[in-house]
Amino acid sequence: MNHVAPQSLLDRLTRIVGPENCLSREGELFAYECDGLTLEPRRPLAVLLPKTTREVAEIVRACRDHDVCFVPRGAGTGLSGGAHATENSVLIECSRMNRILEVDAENRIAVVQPGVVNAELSTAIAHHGLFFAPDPSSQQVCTIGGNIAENAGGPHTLKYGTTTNHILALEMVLPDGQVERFGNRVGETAGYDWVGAIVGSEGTLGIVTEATVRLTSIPEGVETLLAIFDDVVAACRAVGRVIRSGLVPAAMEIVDQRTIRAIEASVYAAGIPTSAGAVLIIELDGNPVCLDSEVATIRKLCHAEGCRTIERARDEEERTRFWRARKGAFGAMGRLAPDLYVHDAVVPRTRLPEILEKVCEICDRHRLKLANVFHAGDGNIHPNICFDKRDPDELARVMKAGEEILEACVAVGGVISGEHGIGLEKRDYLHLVFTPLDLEPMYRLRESFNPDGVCNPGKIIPTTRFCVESNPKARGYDAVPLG
Amino acid sequence: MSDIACIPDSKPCRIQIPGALVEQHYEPTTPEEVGAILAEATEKKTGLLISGGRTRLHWANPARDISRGLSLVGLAGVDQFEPEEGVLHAAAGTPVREIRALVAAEGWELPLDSPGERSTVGGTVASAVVGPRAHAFGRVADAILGLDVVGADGAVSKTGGRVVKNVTGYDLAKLYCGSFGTLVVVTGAWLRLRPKPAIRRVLSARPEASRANFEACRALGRLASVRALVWNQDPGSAFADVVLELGGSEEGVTHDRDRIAAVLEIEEAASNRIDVLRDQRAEMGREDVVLRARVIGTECEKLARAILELGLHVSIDPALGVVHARGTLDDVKSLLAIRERARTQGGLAIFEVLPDAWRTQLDVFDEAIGTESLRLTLKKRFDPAGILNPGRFVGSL
Repeated sequence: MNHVAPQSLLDRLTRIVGPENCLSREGELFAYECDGLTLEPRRPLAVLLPKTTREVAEIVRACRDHDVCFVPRGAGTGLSGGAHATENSVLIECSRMNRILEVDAENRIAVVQPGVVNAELSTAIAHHGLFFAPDPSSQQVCTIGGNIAENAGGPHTLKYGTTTNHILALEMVLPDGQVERFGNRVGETAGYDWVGAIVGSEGTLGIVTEATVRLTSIPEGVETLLAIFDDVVAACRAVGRVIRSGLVPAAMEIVDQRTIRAIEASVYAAGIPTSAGAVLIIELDGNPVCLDSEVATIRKLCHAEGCRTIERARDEEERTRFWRARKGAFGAMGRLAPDLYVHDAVVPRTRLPEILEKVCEICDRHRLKLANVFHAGDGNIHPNICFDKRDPDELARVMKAGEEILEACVAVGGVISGEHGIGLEKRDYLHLVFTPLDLEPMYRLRESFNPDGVCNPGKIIPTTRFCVESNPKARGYDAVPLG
Repeated sequence: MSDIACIPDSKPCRIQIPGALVEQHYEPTTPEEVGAILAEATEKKTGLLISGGRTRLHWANPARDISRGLSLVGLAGVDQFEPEEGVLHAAAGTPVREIRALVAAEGWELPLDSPGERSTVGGTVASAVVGPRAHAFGRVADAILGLDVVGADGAVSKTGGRVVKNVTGYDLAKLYCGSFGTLVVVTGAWLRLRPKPAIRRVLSARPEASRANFEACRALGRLASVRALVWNQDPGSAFADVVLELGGSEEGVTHDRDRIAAVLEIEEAASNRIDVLRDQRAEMGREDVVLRARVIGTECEKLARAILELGLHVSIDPALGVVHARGTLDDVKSLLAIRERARTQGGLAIFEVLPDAWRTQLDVFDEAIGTESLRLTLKKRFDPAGILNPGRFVGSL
């Protein structure tokens, strides 16, 4: 497809953000062809790097005037293609809107621009004894704006919830270019819960330009345990026992044998025996006087499921080592194959053992390499399929296996995404979970904000509106070939 | 076709709500019957009063063109409860107190703290009403995993699911929760449970009503085992009545009790004391005015003091920044001044009870300024004939 941008649009966008913040040459656009979903790259018409809400609003109005769609983007770490430039769109990259505007430590509130990096916010407020609780695996690079778009989770979702539990108010540029504010500093409004509807809407309702976020007290005490099991099913059963016991750990994460072996062969090596069938990392936090008895309970429950050994981190260094076995997993998987398809689905926690067996069966049948790292406490599985996309046959098997995994999860009462979002990747699988009647109110919500679908077209649910490549009005554009 | 639901006969029952007297009510027993009623109402443009346990019908702007009621109490019962999973599914008309008892027997608790004996799941979801335990439980929306709903066109649909983590599609449950039945009618909900605390203790104190003591109490709200903290004060009183509910492990509760004892002169209180205070807040007394205001924590004491100076009794959740107030006011300007003060302090004020004459001069609800156009657009798309609780919600929607 010939990607072209109307010169008149490029001229106007350049005037809005300055030439250094308007990228349109082929080499500049290459890095923006996809987010963390690399399977279907799409080159944007241009990439804009605004610094203010006013610039974002002007970009939106310029795009509208030229009947060009636009797609918001944070750091591009999303895994479902939510930031892909569908429909020959312009990308609006918010990473330069990266200022922490206010910290109200006493009320545990911060006001931030969307490009603030998740981990940097926590670092900046640590001296107040506070942190920003959502902790997606990409937290060293992902942005708060992206977290809001995807309702990002992370290992500590089990206790602290997902991003939606930590957003109080938003400023957003609507798809018509108007700037609107939603919510307030107490996180409660008397009308419709706009903030609740916007968080997780994957940038299809508008572009968030400021967020008021809730901060959380750093827990007084933390205990991290690493339990080694002979197989992943036993580790899952131990998770079920912990849930039933009434304890609420901050995190319960499982890493399977193939992943352990990849980690131990990599720079992330954590000293886990490669004979281990699975590792269960459990983190408890809260009042230090409670933690000893909670650790004792966890030990008992894990041993009841045949846990081989269980270690308690003695210090921060050891805690970091335990977590390296989890957080280094995706990097280590690069040793297994050139490409990685990170799946994301959720099942009832009691169904984890059977669904993992089913996932293994599916991948074995399709002759695929599978590695599992997942948020066991939430029932949020991440079957990671290692493959080489240059092999068309293998790629086809990867896609078929992915579909079967989703079907299997839905069949046991699960859903097709727990934290990565629907984006492009799973849009055509929504029917597994929802009927057309279930989807109709979703269209009504989106159309209330984004009636002609110009804002992040084709994500979550299909868009019916034409954009520049199919809009008859676009034929007369003074198009300029890229490059 | 035999599978098309019939509209059940309506039953006589006189219910006075702000702006209307509703004398005939439908009591469907299936979502399909709800759908048939709504489809016909949309076709005939018949405004409906949607109700559950009828505990908060007064909490509204004056109704507009409501001629019939639609009660959800006929859809009741917990049809799925999974103690291993900590989730359950209940029909909208199920009383919240029944679910509390059911799950407690299996070591769980329902994180909904709606007041009153007759509160239902559907009413709690529609109004998003919380109690003092919101400090531990969070918002109503946080307990919802998925909802079954019927649209104004009669279409039966669902949103969300039954798992504890889910970003599959738009989060419509957030939109429906607190929408006072103006977008859809909720017929059922998947709810997330919390482990019941191993032990629970209730403490009371009667400190001098000073700013320093208030702030000390507010700080106690940050202790891990404090589930609820209420500060009650009468106008002109030099003292406040403080009640704390603690829950968790024995070690944690004992530890926090000692910390509290270092700040307040405490004694043990009845185990249901927080429930009693919660329900008192919701009672329809003889007061002219009942309101609920919320501000950021550091401004809570100042707001409460201003309200006390107007002669109202206050019941405060200091850790949440919530001030419940009731009493008599001379004029509507005082009420609006409270709202303005709450707004400038980052929050809002909702008027639950007020004289009829005032109800037409202000909006009972307090939506953020500027979202009116979106609100009208959304309402039009979900309920084009305007049959769902017309006139009663924010902006007389």
